Amino acid sequence: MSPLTLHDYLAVGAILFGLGMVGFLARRNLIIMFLSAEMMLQGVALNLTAFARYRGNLQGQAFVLFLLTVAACEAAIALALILMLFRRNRSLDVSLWQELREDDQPPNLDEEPLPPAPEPEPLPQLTPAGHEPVHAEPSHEEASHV
Amino acid sequence: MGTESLSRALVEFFPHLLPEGILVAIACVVFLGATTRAGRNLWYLLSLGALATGVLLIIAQGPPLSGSNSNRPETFASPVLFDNLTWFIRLLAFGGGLVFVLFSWSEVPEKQAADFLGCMLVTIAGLSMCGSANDLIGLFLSLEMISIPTYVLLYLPRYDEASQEASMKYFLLSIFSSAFLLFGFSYLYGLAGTTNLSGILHALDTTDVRDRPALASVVLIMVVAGLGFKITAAPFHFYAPDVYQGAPTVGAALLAFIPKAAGFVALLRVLGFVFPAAVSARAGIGMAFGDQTPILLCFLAAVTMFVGNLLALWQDNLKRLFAYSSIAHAGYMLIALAAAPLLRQAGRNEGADGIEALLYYLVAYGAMTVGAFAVISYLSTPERPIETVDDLAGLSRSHPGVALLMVLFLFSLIGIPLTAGFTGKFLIFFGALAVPGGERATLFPILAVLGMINAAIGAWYYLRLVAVMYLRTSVRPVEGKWCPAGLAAVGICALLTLGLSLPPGADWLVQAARKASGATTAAAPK
Repeated sequence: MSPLTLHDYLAVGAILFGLGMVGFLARRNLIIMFLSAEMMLQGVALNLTAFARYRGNLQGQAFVLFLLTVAACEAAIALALILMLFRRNRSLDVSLWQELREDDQPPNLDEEPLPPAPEPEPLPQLTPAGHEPVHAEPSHEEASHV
Repeated sequence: MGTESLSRALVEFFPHLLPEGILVAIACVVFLGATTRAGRNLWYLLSLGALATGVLLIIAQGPPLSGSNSNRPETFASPVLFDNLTWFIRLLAFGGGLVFVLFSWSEVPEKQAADFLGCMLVTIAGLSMCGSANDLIGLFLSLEMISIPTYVLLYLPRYDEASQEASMKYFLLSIFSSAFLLFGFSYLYGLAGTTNLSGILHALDTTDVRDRPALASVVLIMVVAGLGFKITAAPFHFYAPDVYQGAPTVGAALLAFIPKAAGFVALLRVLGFVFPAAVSARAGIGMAFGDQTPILLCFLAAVTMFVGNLLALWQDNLKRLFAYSSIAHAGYMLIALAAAPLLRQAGRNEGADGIEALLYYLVAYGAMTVGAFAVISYLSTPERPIETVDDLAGLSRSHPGVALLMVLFLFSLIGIPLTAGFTGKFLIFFGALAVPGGERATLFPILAVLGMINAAIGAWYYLRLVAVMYLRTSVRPVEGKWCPAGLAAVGICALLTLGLSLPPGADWLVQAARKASGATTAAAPK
């Protein structure tokens, strides 16, 4: 079996990048879209490490370290943003967000709407035992602001 | 390029990053301090002081002497570079930052003011560092230093649905475009074997065009696509109207200026339009990726101008209108970029120069667009927001002074003489017409004519705003609010728009832009 060459690594990197791109364009779930974009970055990281080995210096690997750091920062912001959007619509579907568009353009109606999410299985109920403690009502101020 | 020269480079070059370092440190102080002390005035005064000191220091320091760091091995090891372009961009970033701090003073609610300010300071530092990046890693990090706080900036001031949708749209498309840029960078590293920009340009310059692998064109396309998103060049512009519409006014103004300036600087550096003095630029500027570069930029410029101007005609929402207007202006700047290589090849350093025109227009564009946004923000109150064109009706009666300043910005955006917009458009179109004949003799005159047609189309929708302000009366007059800081931001932009069009200011800016473009230092190929 022949050893792996630079081209093999580059091919895998390009495939990862392409898969991520298709996923970003085709999926509608916010989290999956973000993960697809991250997959594109992983393709880039693979390219950089492969080139670093091929070129015999460490600059490419240093680039990957910075890339991962930035990706982590972006993931933190992404999760905060996604949570904020989810609180408003109770859905991760991007096609629900169509308020901003050209004036004369009708909203993009979904011809094949997603099937309704299955009802979560009811949690097991235990019979409460003992006295119920006194608990304070959560204030509305805290609940409405993130 | 051993460890020794790297450490020498670090010692020698990192003190140059001191202004940005101080800015980021102040941003950290603001982030932390705001948890114990609410309110905005202290933090705004602190950062205003820091930015003003920065501007004074940069002016006092002056641009570096030409040829001071030429032909030194450190250029090929150092991650940062301090040349005339760096100085120019740093002044632009700090000066622009000053205006933005004044602008946002009353726009942001008290509770989020400090966080907003901290994010904004980091963006300003990012733009400033973008000008000094001499390494793909540094360039990427400084671009991300602009993008990541911007995601937060877009949704901090408001909690409504439109603002959340805008920030999510910008966020997703921004990381998508960053991925393209990075893919281009990874191949660029593979081609040249180094992440140092001077080294990359040197490597590309010393290999013959025919020996170069086809990867170079992939790099060119990926990098232009990734940066095209930042400068809102069509077909990468589609996010701009939605995001501007949903964003708070100050956020829209930031988006219209800071990422665009950074995108153009990154294009100048990566595509080799501005060479570090240590690299000889044998093939001429902007030709590092082959001579298809100007043609690609020509098409981008033409499409961008038409998309921006034609779609702006249909808009009623002011922020959407200015979004399309900013797309159109990116198109004008791309003309200058496309014409730059052939102009410099002709050796006409005394006459027109593409990069000089681009940098001039960048400053002029910043002053007039940010000024127009500042007027909108100054006039908006929560009870009577200025959202659509009709909201401006009767402005000349209720606020004659502000209406006059708005007219100044709009005239400058049209390009009427005695404004900075006119001088900038003149430099760009004159440059495109001055491209000497050759195999592409007809391309650039056609581009210049297309640009002029577009300037005429643009006049229609800007003049519509003027007509609404002066000829129509409103049922409910604009209230406006008394806010000295917002007025100061409008005033500074107006002063720049006027001052940079007339000889002392215009000459100074053209000289600074010419120095920054490297026309006098880099040896022009005969």
